[in-house]
Amino acid sequence: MPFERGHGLLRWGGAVTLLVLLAAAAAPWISPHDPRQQLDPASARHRPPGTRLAVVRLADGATLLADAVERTPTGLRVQRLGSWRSLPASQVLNLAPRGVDTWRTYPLGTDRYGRDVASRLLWGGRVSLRVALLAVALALTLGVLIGAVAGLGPAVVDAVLMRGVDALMAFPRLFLVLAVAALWRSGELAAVVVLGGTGWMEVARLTRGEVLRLRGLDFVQAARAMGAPPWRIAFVHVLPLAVVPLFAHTALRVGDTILTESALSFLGFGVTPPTPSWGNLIADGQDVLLDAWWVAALPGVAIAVTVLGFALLGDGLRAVLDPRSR
Amino acid sequence: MTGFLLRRVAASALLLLLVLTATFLLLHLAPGDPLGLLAHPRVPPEQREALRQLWGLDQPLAARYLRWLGGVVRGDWGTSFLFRRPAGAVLLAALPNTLLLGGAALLVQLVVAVPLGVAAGRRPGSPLDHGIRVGSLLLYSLPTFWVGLMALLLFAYGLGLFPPSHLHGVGAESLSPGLRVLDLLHHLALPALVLGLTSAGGLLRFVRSSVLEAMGQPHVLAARARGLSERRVVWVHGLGSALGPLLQLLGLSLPALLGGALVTEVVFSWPGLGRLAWSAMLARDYPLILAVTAWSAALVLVGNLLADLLQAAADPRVREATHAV
Amino acid sequence: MASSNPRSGARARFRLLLAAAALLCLACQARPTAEAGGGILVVATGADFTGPNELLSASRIDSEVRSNLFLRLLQEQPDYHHHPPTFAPELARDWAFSEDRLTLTFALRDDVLWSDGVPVTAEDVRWTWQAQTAPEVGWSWAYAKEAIRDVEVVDPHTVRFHFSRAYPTQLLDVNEGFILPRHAWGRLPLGEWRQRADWFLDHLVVSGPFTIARWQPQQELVLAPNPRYFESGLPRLERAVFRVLPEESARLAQLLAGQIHVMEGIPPGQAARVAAHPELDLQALWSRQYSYIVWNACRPLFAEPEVRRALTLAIDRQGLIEALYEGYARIATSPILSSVWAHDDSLQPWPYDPQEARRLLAAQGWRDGDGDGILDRDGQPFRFELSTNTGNQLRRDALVLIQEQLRRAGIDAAPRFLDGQALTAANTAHDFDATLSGWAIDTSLDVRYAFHSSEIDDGYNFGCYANPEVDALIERIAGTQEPRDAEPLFHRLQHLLHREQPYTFLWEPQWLVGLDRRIEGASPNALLTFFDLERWHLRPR
Repeated sequence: MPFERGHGLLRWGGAVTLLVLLAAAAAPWISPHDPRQQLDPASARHRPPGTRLAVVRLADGATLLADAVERTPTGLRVQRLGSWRSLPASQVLNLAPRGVDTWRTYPLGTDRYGRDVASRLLWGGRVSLRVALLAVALALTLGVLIGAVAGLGPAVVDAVLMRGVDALMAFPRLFLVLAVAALWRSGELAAVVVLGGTGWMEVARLTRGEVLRLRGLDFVQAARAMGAPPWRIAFVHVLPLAVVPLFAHTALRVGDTILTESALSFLGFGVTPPTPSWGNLIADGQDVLLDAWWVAALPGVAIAVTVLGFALLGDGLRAVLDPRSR
Repeated sequence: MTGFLLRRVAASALLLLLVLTATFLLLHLAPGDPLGLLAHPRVPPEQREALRQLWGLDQPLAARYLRWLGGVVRGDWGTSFLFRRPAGAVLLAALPNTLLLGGAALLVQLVVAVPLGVAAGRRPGSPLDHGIRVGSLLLYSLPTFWVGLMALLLFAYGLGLFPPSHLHGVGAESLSPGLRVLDLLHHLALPALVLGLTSAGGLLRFVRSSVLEAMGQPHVLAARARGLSERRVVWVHGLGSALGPLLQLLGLSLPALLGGALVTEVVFSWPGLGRLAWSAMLARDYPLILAVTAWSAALVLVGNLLADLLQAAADPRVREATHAV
Repeated sequence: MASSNPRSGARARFRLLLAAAALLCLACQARPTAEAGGGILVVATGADFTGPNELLSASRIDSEVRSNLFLRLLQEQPDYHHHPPTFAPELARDWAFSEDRLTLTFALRDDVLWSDGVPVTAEDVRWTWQAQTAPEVGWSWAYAKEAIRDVEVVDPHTVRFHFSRAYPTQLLDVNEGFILPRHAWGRLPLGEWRQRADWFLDHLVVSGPFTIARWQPQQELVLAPNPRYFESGLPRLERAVFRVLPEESARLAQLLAGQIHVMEGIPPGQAARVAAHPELDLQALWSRQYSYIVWNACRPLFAEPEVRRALTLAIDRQGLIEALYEGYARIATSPILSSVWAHDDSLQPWPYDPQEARRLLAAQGWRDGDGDGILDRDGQPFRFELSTNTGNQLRRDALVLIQEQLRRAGIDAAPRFLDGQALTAANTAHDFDATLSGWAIDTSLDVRYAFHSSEIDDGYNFGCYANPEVDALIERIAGTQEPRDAEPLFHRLQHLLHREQPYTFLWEPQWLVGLDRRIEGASPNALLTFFDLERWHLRPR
């Protein structure tokens, strides 16, 4: 019964996670628009989801976005920023029988520069996920190494490392991450290093515990009795098994890191604009909460869905890999 | 018991020292010059040098560390660049507000997590259980600051039910004490709900699994066999055995709670430790960053210590177990 | 709060659900109430007050508050647009220069008391000057006092300033800074000031209309009337509460909801919302600021004036003003604001003309040889970093929009965001390509700070701009006794800067202030919003 539920969680979590990862990976191809493009920002600013605007290309190289266009005998009448004005046919490059030949739809609305929110969400997800995955990879590497050294090394090393881990775990993570990011440097790479560098302690603990448990087991004792060198015991007999419980933890960790990254970027110390990440998309929207709720609201939904996906996946993995837990 | 207590306190003190050292190193190995903030480009170089000496920035790292630690022991955290007052005083003024917010959020957590967790744990596998399980994951998945913004938009700006910022309304100091408390609660409600709800997921899952586990244990089965009411069985025997681990979990969840408090305070302009930390970091206010970061960790340590001691008081086996480690 | 006619059933049910929470509103203090007298004024401020002593720190809110705590010798009038600023008496009744303009004598009012009853005297004036110029205090504006040789106490109500030289802005420099209480603050040795900034709050005595009733950092600062203020019947307000609200959106929402009475620095994008509000009055004031991009001429890329002019031509400033400022700004053409008397009105702003920009650049050898859309010369693409500071949304917006416009002209500008401190450090070290920033300028009209070659090494001439004729003009202006006589020199100077474009002068923004219509007696100006707070009062609802 728990086995089955584990699979159910796994399926749902896996599906959501996969979908989000695919969407982020495919952002260059599936984004409706270029996430950085600002066509006629004065007119396209803060348009609600579903807005459709006419694209008027002018001979002088400028582009206007109009709420409505009307073909006239001499050219085009354009409604922009609340007023109508006429343009002679010679000035408009993309004149068509029904006004103009191009229209743009913003499925999730636009932000303060008239950029497409949907595209920014996709590209922002790419950045947020990339940062989170790299940071977790870093944290896993550090954590497994340190945990293994503590578990396999001499007792003194173990004691020193574990007290260090205790001390670092006493910091509320966000305070630590912020202090480091604020004083050192901000940016995407810095965010990876900071999040990875402050996220390994739990991994180290888990690894150490598992290593200690495995070390006492019969087959390891046997290998030792047969004269296998310590490094061989570590890498062949202990570590491959010690990392198994980490799978579930990793999935949870990714979700957690996405949350921390978004808070970091929201507070202005993570990924720096104009590179979009979910956290700074929300920060962008905070100033205009009253005018354009969608700018701040939608990235939050994206974060919640993604983190939920990873949490379900982690839960499912734990249920499947460790039948004791229910 | 006294021996356990002493050992536990000594271990915490050692950790606190490690924490202080880590904070100090973190900041003082960082690139950049804290003096840049204070020294206007118009200030002549010789004067800048004098200021540098005044703050001890010309001394080697070890000397600065000892000097700083000496100050910290005396309660002197230096002068905040931003507030131009002793960093310790600025911090102590903000601390009660964070404790208030954190305490209220903890209460919200318990009020939400315990009944729902018990309900789910009693009927494992039921639709209710599934719903609560996924709900707890969903709560965990929501970014606290975003929930805060949405709550502001909806309940403060939209419906006007709650004030959007601060501890008190304007002129609250002239209210009667009773109304003043009500005013405070009114201001506290929204941030405490946001912080409490978004951090309730972990506790909810814990209560559920504890009850589930306890319900199968001999003493609970025995209690039920004795014909005690179901309510009594669940709440006293089922949940009772989970009390110790519950305390420990609350201790362990303190760092996350403080992290959540940071963003909640920023969103709701709540004058606590977290918003202070954020302002300090934006301004690169070194003394204040040091003080706030160290204090946040110290709070966690004290919280954990308290949780351990309470747990030990509740369950003697814990003491023995700690001896063995 | 609970309106009587819910528009739909669902909404009504929702309200019922929230009724319990709403009960708490018994104590609701959401709306500031006007009681007897002038009422309680509530102001939102983004930044926290840092303390009463202006020699130790300065921010906009600090200046606003302190101008209500302390008096100056004179009050500079906001009339600098039409002629050099004039002064009205404040602590000083009268003043006179000697024939050679090397001494300046002030007759002080004899009826002004500190809030503890001690009279304000010439000794306070002299001691204030000593504190202002003390190296251990390190006042940021101490250089304004450079030419003051000594301050002499003639009698308790007469004080004389001795100058080492005569120059046009002597009065302005003397008047820089408030007169501080010697008998109270003089007890703390100057050497300890920097470390004990909080001491001054505990030992606060004031001479202005208000005093500090309460200050809770991160929360609020409450000003209460100073009962010993020398003008009887003033101030009229019972209290002025400055609430700290770091988030701009929160300040705006509370202004619109009537929870605060005044918000300064309304973002232009939100101005329409404030203007349309029936209970609010939007005031757009021409501020003493201009925004610019400085091109670093230390770097070969920006060494040629033609290239800098082409960059200006490639930026659609009018379009940006419409997009960013909703019209609450105008194009800047020189470091002398266009509303000020010395401004050369014959200067025509460079138009937005990307074709002309490309032509100019082509003449300098910049062509898109490899067809990647970016101009290049000798194999080097026209690529650089355009920096600005974090924390200023309008600048960030401007930077992002300008980047896009330059790209259309074949120029690749990569945005770089630094915190203010790091940006100033990079600028003064000439370690940047181009920076978008702004100057808030005083009324002296001295442009030496940014455009004289002597300021390259240790000043604000970030872009290494050096033109001997400009240097000479700046010095001649500084040596002209009667500022009005310098007008032709000012015009020639602006003409040169316009032609050579060491800066692309972007725009002069307006400072937008939203005020509750119940406020009476307020006349905010570009110098200070709360400049005459003692006359403000709230009309009862």
